[in-house]
Amino acid sequence: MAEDGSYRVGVDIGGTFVDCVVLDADGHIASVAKSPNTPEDQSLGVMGALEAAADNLGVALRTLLSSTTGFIHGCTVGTNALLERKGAKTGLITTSGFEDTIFIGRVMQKRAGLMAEEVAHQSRLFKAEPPVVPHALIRGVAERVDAIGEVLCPLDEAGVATAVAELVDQEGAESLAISYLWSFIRPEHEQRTRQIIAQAYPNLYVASSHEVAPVLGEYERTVSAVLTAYLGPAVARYAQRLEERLSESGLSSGLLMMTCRGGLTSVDDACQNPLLTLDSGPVGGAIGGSLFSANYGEDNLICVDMGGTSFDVSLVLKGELVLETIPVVDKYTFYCPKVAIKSIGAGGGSIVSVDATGVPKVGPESAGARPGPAAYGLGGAEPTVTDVDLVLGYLNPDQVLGGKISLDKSKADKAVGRVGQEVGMTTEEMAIGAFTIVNARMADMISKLTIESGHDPREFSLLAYGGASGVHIPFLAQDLHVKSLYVPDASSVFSALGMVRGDVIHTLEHSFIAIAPFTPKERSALNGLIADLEKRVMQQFIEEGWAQDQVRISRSLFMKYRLQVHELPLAIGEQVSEEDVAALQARFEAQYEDIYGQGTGFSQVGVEVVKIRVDGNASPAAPPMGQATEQPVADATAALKGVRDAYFPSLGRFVPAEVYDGGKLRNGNVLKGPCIIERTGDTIVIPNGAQGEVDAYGTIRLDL
Amino acid sequence: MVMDTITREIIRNALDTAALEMTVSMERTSRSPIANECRDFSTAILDGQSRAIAQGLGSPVLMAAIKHSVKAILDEFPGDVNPGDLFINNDPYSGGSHLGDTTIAAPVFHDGELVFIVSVRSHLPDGTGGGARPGGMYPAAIEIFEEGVRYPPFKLYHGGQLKQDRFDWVVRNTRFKAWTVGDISAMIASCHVAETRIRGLIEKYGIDALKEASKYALDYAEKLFAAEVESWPDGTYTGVAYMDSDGFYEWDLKIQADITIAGGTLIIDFSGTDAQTTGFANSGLGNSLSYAFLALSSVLDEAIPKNDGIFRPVQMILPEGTLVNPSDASPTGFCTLHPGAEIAQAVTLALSQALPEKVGHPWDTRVTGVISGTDPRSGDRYVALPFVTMHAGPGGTQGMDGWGGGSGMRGGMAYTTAEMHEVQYPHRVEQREFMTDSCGPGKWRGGPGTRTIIKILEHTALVNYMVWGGKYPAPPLCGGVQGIPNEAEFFYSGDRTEHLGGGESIERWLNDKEGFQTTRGGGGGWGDPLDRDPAMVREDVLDEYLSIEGARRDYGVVVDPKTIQVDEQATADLRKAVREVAVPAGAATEEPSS
Repeated sequence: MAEDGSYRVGVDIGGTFVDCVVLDADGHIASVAKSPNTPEDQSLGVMGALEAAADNLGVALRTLLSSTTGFIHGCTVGTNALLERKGAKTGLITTSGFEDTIFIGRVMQKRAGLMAEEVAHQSRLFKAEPPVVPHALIRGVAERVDAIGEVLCPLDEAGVATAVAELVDQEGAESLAISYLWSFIRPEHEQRTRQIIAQAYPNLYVASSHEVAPVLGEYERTVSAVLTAYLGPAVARYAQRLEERLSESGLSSGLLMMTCRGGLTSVDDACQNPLLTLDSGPVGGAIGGSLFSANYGEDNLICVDMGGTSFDVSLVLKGELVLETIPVVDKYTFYCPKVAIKSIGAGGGSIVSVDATGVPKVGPESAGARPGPAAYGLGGAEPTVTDVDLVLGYLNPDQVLGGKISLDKSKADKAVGRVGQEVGMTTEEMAIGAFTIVNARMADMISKLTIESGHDPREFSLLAYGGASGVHIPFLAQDLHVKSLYVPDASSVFSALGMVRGDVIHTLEHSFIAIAPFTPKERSALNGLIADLEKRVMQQFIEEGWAQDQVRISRSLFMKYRLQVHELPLAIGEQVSEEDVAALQARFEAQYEDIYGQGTGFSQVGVEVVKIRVDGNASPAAPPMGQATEQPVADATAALKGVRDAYFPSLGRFVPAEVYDGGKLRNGNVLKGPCIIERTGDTIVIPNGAQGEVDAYGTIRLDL
Repeated sequence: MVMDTITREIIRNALDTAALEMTVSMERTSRSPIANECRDFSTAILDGQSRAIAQGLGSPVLMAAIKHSVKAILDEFPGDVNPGDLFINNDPYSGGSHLGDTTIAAPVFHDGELVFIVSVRSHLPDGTGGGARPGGMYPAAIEIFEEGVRYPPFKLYHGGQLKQDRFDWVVRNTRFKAWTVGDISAMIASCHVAETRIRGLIEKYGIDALKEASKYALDYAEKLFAAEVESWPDGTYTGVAYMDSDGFYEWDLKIQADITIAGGTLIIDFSGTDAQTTGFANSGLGNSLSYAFLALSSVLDEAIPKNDGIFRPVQMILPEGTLVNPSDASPTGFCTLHPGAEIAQAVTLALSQALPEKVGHPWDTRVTGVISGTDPRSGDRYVALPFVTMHAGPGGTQGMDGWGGGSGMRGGMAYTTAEMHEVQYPHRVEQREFMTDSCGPGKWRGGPGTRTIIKILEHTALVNYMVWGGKYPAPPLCGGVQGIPNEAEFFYSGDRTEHLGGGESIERWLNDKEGFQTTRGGGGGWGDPLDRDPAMVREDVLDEYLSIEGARRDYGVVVDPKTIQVDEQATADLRKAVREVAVPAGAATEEPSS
């Protein structure tokens, strides 16, 4: 049992549940709890999950919180506010003549992020969804700077004052965004506009594009500023409410927020840059994946999360999470480096059906938690993946989920059987078909993601977490020919666990356009910019109370071939010397060919820099992983609890499979497939021909 | 039996993924902005009989043309298609559209049998070079020979060996060698990606399973398609669309589609279409079929795979010697824009009578240009397709308004931002915004038109512009009204201006600070504007899509100019009065304002 001042708490808000993990001073999991999400005020759900976690620990909530040194939180307030269009009433001030940039949206505003099949039908896609900022709340003011920072038209300050007054007083704007052309080259006009706003309305939330995203491309930059202004007040309100509740309940340490960048940040930063919170939920799992990669020496890792409604995939390459620089959320593309995560609608709740020609289909529709799978008996009539897993014998029909919902296999049989009947299949045939198809869809997506980034799945190991992964991933992993498959302990709360062990990360980017080799003037400008960004990143850490030597800084140049649009980040030192430039060109070429194939390099057109990024990392005093104490024992007999018939595709039939109690498995236990392991929160199926081994941390490694 | 269905479904998906991988590879490794940024290309995996089994994401306009240009390769090389060969073909009269769109195709053999063909079709940066003007789009052309170099199907690789002389010949005929080398290399690499993937599938599942799955993919699409057509009301429906001109003194050219729905079959008959014309607006067969199917696709369920199977239940009648199937050597440079648009419009108009609730918005008309010169910043020659000016206002459809800033080309393209344009080209984008009262009125209105102004900076540029849809903007549907038409205006030093209307093209040398303005008109409306919810009309007033006078004139909605509230009583009275006058729908159309 931990002493005072030694807990770290992670709370992750998911689609259905709020997950909470408490680590003790030794890094062991002290408590795990889930509580229903409360969308109307997420902070209530957070408190609920905390109460439950304290309960598991056998202490009062106040005792838990007052002994907590680190509290890490991933919220979906920003994401929900965007998806449900419940952000602040936002006004936009922009360059006159370009008021419609966010609607024109490079043609892709209504379809960015959609699947190919959906795009083919765009004429029917474009429901007039309410835009984040309606046309009526956009004002153009006279001003213009050109690409090299010359002022072609000075800022019409009186025009700004009028526009601001109209937006706030007449239109009722609660928040303002400023975005002018080329402001990232010369920000004075945006800075002056902010001053004018501050004079009139000192408390108004304001986002300027050159601060939020000082990067080329007025569409994405304006969207970044607009979304920031739109989400900032909501995120700030929520954070304040949560901080109050937590501090009333005894929390004295600071709150850290999970970001989509793959690290943690202060509440202030999250409120000023709410884009950081978008889609940050699944990122917790990805962080867990990158830590797992380091702990297990698996440099290349595919991290997959199969939960109730979605299947999320991220990659760890050479120990680092893969970032995307222009992410898409709800069809808006913006600038904010974000851990690349691909999702499809495939999870335990995905609905099984047949199409007009009798081919089985799985998802993307989900039965969610209510009514949920047919077997829950909560009124769900449609068969789901969970029902299929029951029919095929993978799941224990006698188990009670979360101490509340008991499974009814007869309801699962009936629902799956009914759909099978429509196309002349038996219940089992239908279940096998659906199981194969959902697995194939997930495998297909894993291949796509690795291949799109220029990699071969065979060079990776797979890390699977989330409640439904243990049943499905072992089968599809066999087809992917990955090296090994790991299913960690506490896999159903792995995201919260990842957060609690994450680093604080601050990142700044800035456009810089120059063709290599640079002129001395360009090189000095480049070095000046790098130093400036670095200073600002460091400043942010220092303001948050970090010491300079706790912060690790890394710098990247984004380079591309001229005439092309695809850029690659290249790590650089503190400054770029003349010799470095030649080396950078060579490294760029090598890395490019590494990704896109031999002979794809195209040096004759030249290489140019487009952007600089500076990242700072600092590790909070995260406890190490708990130390192994047990002696390894191969024999797992002590955990054997029975035998159940289950279907194994490569045998083509149901066979009796040994069932093990995961809670009784010990370090070193070896399990030969076909067998089933039942743990709190998940079930793992080891296919025939595969073998699993348990380690001291409760992770099960499968050799396939 | 059960598992067969599932394995086939899995292989079908894997082939789709492979076609998508071709797209990704192409997008990442091609050189020219038109390919790597705007994705004006398409990828496909075809079977040994050139039936498209799977298509990647890209420009949908190129879809049917891929199949026909690959088929032409097989037809013209009987018995001479061998392992390691790789073909090129851009001939509009060998299954293509216009010379710029070039097909690269590689056969995939297994045990000596031709089992698949992988293919990429992409718009090469200078057309294929050799034409009278950069980019290959030459309004004054009256023969194909003025538009560019015509490649009949020929081998770029023979038995795995690059034929360097032929490759050089292709490259040396173009003005933009680096882009051309890069794009063709990317097309070849993309074919290799797909070939590798197919070999992996053969290894895993066996060739028989792949053949079976290909056949299944086609049957599957055909079955779904036929089931959908079966649910449509039988009858013959006629759609007529007009093209402003052919670029060469022929005006008001008619495209007519008579669509007959009978059970699960469909006949699309273009016999009522005008004869082929002198100018560059004739449409090669592959192009005509692509546009007809695109219009058709918009009413199909998205679950139906877009492969060769959907061609089967459809009979297309395209008489030779007409605008939609010209005889040899007529110029076709403009066809991927016009009459491509009018072909799709005619099909859409016919479908709108049978399926008013489902029909997609009609294809947009174009204001298009090519700017070339020497960039004073680098000393390099450039050719710009100014996508930044090409945002259109698509039409309304049942249940939804057209959105602004749409693309005339649709598909997976993303247009450049103003800032990117200014980096890429020595131009300044001075303005780009929506226009008030530009949307076509309807119960569901069209999207707004966009006005863009571009100035040339510190050099002399050759600017070609063409305005179509000035006389005949994209048509409204089901009782809606058309939006404002397209137009353009050139600005010269000394405050001189020159106006460009529908069906006109222009070629001018512009100097520093001279420029032009393009107006991409609004989309047509769907349904009677008098049926539009007054609250939505008010929203449009607030958003400046509509003026207060426009609300009254086009919708019979009275909005108080002080409070910007709808006067319910006055609106009801006005709408009643307008209805009583019983003006037939469409007759209330505004005269084009300039």
